[in-house]
Formats: sequence, C-alpha cells, structure tokens
Amino acid sequence: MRAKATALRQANFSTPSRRLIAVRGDPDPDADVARSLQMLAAAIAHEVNQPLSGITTNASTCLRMLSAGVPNLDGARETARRTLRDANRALEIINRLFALFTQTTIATEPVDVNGAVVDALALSHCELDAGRVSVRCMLADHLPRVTGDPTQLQQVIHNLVKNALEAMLGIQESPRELTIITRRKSDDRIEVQVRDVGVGFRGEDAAKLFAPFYTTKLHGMGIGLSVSRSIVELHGGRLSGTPNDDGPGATFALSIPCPPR
Amino acid sequence: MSSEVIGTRPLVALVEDDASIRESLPDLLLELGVAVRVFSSAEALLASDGIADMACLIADIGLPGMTGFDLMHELRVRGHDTPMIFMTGQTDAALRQRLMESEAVTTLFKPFPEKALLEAIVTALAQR
Repeated sequence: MRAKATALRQANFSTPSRRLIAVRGDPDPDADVARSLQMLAAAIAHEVNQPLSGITTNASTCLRMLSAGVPNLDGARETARRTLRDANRALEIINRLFALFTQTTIATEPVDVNGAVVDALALSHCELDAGRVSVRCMLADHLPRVTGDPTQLQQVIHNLVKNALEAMLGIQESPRELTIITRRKSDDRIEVQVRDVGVGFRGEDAAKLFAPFYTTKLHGMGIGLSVSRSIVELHGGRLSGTPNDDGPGATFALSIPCPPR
Repeated sequence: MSSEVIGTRPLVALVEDDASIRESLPDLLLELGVAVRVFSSAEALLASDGIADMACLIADIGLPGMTGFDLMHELRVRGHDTPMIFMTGQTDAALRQRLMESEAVTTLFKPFPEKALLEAIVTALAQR
C-alpha cells in the first residue's frame, strides 16, 4: 500500500502537466507547468474569496450595528458568529487542499458500499431538495464489503452526486432525475453507477473531464473528478464517465475490487 | 425597523447562490439604508413578482443555471432596464474584461469593502 501511495503522491504532481499537454497539444513543458500553477492559484483564490467576502461583509455590518445611536447588540453578536463561521470555512478549504496535495496513505478497513452511497446522499440531501431532484436508488443486496477508506469513498460518491446535480440545474422542462445503482459487476468487482439526465458531455470530451483544473462550471476548481479518480485508483478501482446513449445526461461508474465468491 | 421605513427605502434585489454571502450581504444593505429581497438563483428572481419595483439588482456572475449575464439579457428582453451590479470571486482576466465591457453599472470583486458597495448602489440608483 505504501508503494502505491508514493506513486500517487508523485502522480499528483506529474500528471497535471502531462494531461494538460495531451489536452492542449502544447510542446513546452515549462509554459505548461506555469499555466497549471496559474490555474491552481486562480482556483484557490476563487474558493477562498467566497468566505473572505462573508467575513468582510459581516465585520462591516457588525461595526455599523455597534456604532449606531442605540447599538444593536443581538445583531452584532450574530454577525460576529457568522464571521467566525466563514473564517472556519476558509480554513477548511485550505486544509482540504493541503491534504489533497500531500496525501500519502489511505486508511484501509472493510467498507459497505451501499452504506457509503446512503451517507453520500445524506451529505447532499439539502442541495438535492433545493434543486428539486428526485433520487432513485437501486442498491443490490448481499454485496461483499470492499477494502478501503470509507470517508474517501463516500467523498467520491458525494462528488459524483454533486456533479450530477449541477449538470441538471439548467434543466427546466423535464424532471431532474438522479439514479444510483450498486451491483456486482463481476465475480471480483463491485460497481456504483451515478446517472443523471443533465447537460451531459460529448464523447470526445470524456478524457478531458478527468484532467486536473478542467471545469465547465463557473464555480468550481475542476479538481473533483481528477481527485476522485486518484482516490478510486488508489483503491485499485476504476472511474469512468460516458454520455447516456438512451437519453440526455451522463453516467459515471466506479468499480472497486471485492473478495470473489 | 418599522414597515413605514421599508416602504420609503429603495428596493435592492440580491441574487447569490453562496450561502454565507446570501446571509451576510442583506444585513449590510439594510444598514446602508436600502430594502432587500434575496434570491438564490436567476430563475427564482425571474419567477418572482415585482421585478419592476426593484431599484437595482446585485447578482453574482457565476450562478448555477442561468448566469448573471444570462439574467441581465433576459431582463432586457422582457423590457426591464433595472440597473445591475455584478459580483464575482473569480480572478480570471478574460472574465474581468467581459465584465468591464458589459453594460452593468460596475462589478464588485469579492471580497469588496463596504465603501465600494455603497458607491456602486449610489451610482446604480442615480441611473433610475
């Protein structure tokens, strides 16, 4: 496991440039690394600017509430609380990024894949409700446990659910449906499929989707799928995405090794 | 604050998908002396009533679904000339250029100081 982990750590730094070269056809590796770093810096700035904005706004409001002829103490307390919360949010982003780029090992324990799906859905519950997405789960009974890091696998599924949701937000005319299927793909592999009816993508863009910093969203760092794939590969699994051939949207499938029957 | 006061205040609509800003900015706007209506998406604002009563609109550019640009376009198509102020947390140069060339009153780059917000609103209200 340690050898694999080291390989991933190296891959974290070497793959972005290779992949970007493949995508952009740029022959100059230095220019390419510079561009990667520029994109990373912009992505981090964007992520952190949101909570920072909350912090400055809440602090301004707090000062005004305290400076009024009759100070609004309850209001000031509430804005101070929000300031702290947003500062914690900024800190979490930094910690997550740090963990992402310095990750060396993964926990290994038996993981119930159906449980990971249920937990991941619980994380997205509010957003799915707000986005008026109906969720259909078809979870196979009697799946064997896989070996891995439950939090990370749950994070991967959560990422896929979030992507599916965001791909469907522009859909107004038809119902927004998310389908999650777990099944035994073969004797020694379990598969999780996350299927949406959203904007989808073109078949030829399938490889680009997993490149670091590639994103089609205005919000978003373009690292979700790239990190998800790294996590799945660290578990000896595979993560792929294909446009649906029987309707709009896309299906992302992750498969992980499990003990054979 | 009494309802009489709100009645005389210009109404500013805020369209923002980020929860911390959706929560914090209305309080500051109230402190600055305007009334506020808050929406989490462009679609929600377009589906609401009373667009004609909005003296100015502050919208994030990177909204999920319809973007701030789409919203401005749709409002113009519907015949609303509501002055618009954009907000963004992006640092992308091409986007900045596009924002500067748009017919929005101005763009607030997050995080922005209270003074910038106030100036933007004063300019926007003067356009009415």
